[in-house]
Amino acid sequence: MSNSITIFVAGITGVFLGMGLLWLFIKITSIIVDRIDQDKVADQPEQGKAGNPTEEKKEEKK
Amino acid sequence: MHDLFAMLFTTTGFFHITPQLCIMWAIGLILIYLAIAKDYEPLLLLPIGFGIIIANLPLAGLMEPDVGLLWKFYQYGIQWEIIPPVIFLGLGALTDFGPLIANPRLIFLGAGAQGGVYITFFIAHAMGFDLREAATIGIIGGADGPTTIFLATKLAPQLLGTCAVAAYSYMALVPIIQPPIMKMMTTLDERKIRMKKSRKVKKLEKILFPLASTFVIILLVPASAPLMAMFMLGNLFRESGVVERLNHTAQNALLNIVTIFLGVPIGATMNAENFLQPRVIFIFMLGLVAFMASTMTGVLLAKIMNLFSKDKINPLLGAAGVSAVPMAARVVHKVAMEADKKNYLLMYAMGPNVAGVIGTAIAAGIFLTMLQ
Repeated sequence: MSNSITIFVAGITGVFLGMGLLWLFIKITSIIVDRIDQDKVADQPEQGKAGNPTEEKKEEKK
Repeated sequence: MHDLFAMLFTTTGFFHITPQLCIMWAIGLILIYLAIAKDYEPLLLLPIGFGIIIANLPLAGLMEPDVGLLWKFYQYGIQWEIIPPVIFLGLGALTDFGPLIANPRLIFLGAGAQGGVYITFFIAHAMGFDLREAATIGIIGGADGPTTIFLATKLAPQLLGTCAVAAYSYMALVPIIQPPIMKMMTTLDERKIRMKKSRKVKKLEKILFPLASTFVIILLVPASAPLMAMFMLGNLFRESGVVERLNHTAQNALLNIVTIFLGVPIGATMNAENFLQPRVIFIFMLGLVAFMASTMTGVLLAKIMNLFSKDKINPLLGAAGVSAVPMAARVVHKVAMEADKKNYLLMYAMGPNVAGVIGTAIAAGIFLTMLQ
């Protein structure tokens, strides 16, 4: 019986530990991916202003 | 002349028919009937039913060691641990982890539902089954056929056929077994809880998940490697988007082929000697207990999580933690819709549902580590 209790406790602990590690990984990945996305969005308008050829042409005409 | 005919008759199977064999044929025919007429897990129950019949035909010798055709399928396909992991490859290619990655906390519901596995293990052992047999019976509660077969082959091959049939039968009965338990354990208000809108999952996250899961789970429970490695490889085929041919083959042709070679030899392991015993009735009863307990522990964990969480989880989602994919998720969706017609839980329920597959593989790996 003591063996079965040990397996019972070890099993439940192991399953939750495995899932906990996966949860941690998903959270960390989502934070990193969201941060990368935010940086991209933040960079885009600046790039647009700097490198938009049509706007440059308009300015030349003026 | 008379003696010659008498001798000839003794060489036919008819001479060797016994009542036990007839009972086994009837069991095989019932499974085929359930598969065809009731659509209960037909992909597995039909070949298993046929396997039972042909393995119990006298003098056919299909399961005779080293000689029989079905014995070879069994030996090289199942005993050599090839077919269940290849099925996991196909399942991985079919699985979308998006709903799980979008709601990571739901992963714990897939763990919570494994409580039923261990509770049943404990009860089975207390009832007199040895530890290895009790583990094999307990894993039925995970509602994962290939994992049950994988574990039974290693720990209690004498229970393989019985546990596989119990697992697939109860998986087919999920829409009947789960709803009363779900309703009993939740209030109407709880069933009406609407989930917060999920965040959008990026492709990079979906590609990284199978890679990370492979490292995390196999490093934690090395014994689960055959199942987890193949499962995550199949998923990487799917999510990478660069091996469409492999992905397509894994989730269609390959999966169908191995399903044939899984069902028939499993049915063939059920001979009258092994199957017609009182303990088989206990195994089926314990299998049902395992399913019910898994549903209960999943719902209970969701309710416990709600005590500490600002964004409430619909506790019905806990029932999707058993890995009968996508049946359990559909059942959750249906029960939620009965309480509130506009409460669409299907995509949310797929999260714990696929987490349940991982959870059951981990549970099986832990049993193997401690009992093999």
